[in-house]
Amino acid sequence: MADDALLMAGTAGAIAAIALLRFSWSRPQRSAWRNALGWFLLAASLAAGWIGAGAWGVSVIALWAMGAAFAVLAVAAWLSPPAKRKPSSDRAGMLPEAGEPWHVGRRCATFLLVVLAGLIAAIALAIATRWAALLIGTGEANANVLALFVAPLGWTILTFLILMADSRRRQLGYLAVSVAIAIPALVTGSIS
Amino acid sequence: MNSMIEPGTVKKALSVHAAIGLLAGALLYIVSLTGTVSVFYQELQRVEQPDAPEMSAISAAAVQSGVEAVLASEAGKPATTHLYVHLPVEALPRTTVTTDTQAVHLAQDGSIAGPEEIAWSDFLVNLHYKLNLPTLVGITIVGILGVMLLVLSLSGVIAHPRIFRDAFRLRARNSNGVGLADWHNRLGVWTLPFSVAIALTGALIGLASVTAYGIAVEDYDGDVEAVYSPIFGAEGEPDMRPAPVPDVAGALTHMAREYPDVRVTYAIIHDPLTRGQHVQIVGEHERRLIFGEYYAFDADGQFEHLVGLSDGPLGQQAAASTYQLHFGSFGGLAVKFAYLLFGIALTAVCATGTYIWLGKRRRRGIEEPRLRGAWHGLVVGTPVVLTLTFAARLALGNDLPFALIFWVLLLAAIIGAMMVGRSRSGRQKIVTDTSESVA
Repeated sequence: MADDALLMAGTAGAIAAIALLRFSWSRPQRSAWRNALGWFLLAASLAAGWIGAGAWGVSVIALWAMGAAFAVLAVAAWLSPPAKRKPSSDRAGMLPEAGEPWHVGRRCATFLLVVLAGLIAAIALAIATRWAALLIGTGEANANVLALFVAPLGWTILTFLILMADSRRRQLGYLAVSVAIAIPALVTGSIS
Repeated sequence: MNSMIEPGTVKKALSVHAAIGLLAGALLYIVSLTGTVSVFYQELQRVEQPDAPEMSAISAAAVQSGVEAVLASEAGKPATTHLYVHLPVEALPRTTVTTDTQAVHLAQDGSIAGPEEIAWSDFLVNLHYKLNLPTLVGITIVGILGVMLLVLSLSGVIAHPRIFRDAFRLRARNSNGVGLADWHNRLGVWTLPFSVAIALTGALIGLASVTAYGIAVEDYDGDVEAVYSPIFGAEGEPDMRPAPVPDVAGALTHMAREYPDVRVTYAIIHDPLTRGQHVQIVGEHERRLIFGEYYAFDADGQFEHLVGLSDGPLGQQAAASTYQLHFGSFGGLAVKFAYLLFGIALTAVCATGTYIWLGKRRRRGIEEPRLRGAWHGLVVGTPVVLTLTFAARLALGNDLPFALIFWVLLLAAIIGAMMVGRSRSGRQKIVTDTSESVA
């Protein structure tokens, strides 16, 4: 019963938080306290979901918050007048403009660094994380699941860093560090 | 927030966003669209085979009788390694027995009612899971797409300097590129929690095979199963000497008596008809993200232990929670419809990204009629071809090669749209040249 009340309060709070943020962000002058209140209300709603029904409660309340935001967006789509400004024509730099060289070799090398070397480095990070977790006494189940989560997350961060890097040396550096972190685990082997 | 980020970083992040979007966009669009439809996998099965026997519950004795009948029907064939009994639940009130070689529906009394015929639903899920490729290759590629979606989310946030100021601005009436960018950015921002959850769980599920292989080589002498054993429980010691059919009814009766609040969804027999056989019951828990708890029984139906997905270490609970969070099956039809809405939004974000990039190039005077045509072909062709395959299933039956039909038709749609785009562009060029020479 108390859990139901918490979930209902969390749901109402999440919808109110979106409404408050909408109101706050629509003002000509931004108000720090109104913004903070909106974010606090959203965080408190998720906390209520967690207390009421754990991860399930957080998920359900997050869906309500997103649904409320979509409803507000639908109103904006209906009421907004056409923009006066011209659309952007900024270059994203993905493909060469007319007459520019393609740099096919460089592009292929970057692709291989991200996909092939990135995957290997991500798995190395996963193995290192598992090893470190076991070293500090984490149980085998937790350590293995941690490794399974670290692989995609580590690869995400590595991909972003590699593609944001200004030089090939820095890209290789990120990959080398990731693999080097796994050396103690690879040298000492399993400690499970 | 983003006012603190330097303009150079914003520009670079936009470049990263565009590069990954263009490289992975087409497959992300297909995976996102098929994932959105797959949320209704159970409901689609009922549409696909409407005459299968349905029931709100089935007795333990009837399940036992069904298991015996199915195993008897396979006498003389290679022994199945597992036997799964899907028990009736609200979204799919059917009892279905699946072995390594067949799947059949049971009637209320446990007799075999006929074969399960859900080839289109399975095709759809296979397209989403592994792009109809061999399992390891396909699921790893889809896992990589999950990682790319995470990078797109991260780079998209950093590339968007006015993320909060514009959070509710949606100028849908602009058809000149501003409206398209607003749709992309607003849907992208407000589906961010959903997209990150879907991408992370998808990447984890997709990359688990290669990650587990790496861990197994390093720490378990190459035994991949040993990586999963501490999480989902270990298979029993095999003993291939023959044995009678296990007491599934006893296990189900125990569940009904001892765990009345648990919704039993599956009964699984490992190594049936051998002395090494054992029974697992999967039970869903109310208001939990976990797909269920494994209740282990011996072949005589005696309860042995829980695996711990519901109350074991946090890692076990987290791993067991990834599936329902990814597939939107944790809160009935209401959550499924929410996933439908946000899935459509994510699919639209995938589609509009490339259109925004093409529009920017067009405004700089670079026309790419074939590329634009191909993208039209993919964006329009995928849902149309999916609908056509479903119509073919309803009209022509269960035995069609749906994957082949889908990929051939989609390829034709893309090539056809490319050619149309090219010829339209050629005609426009002729008209422009003629007007200029007349002037």
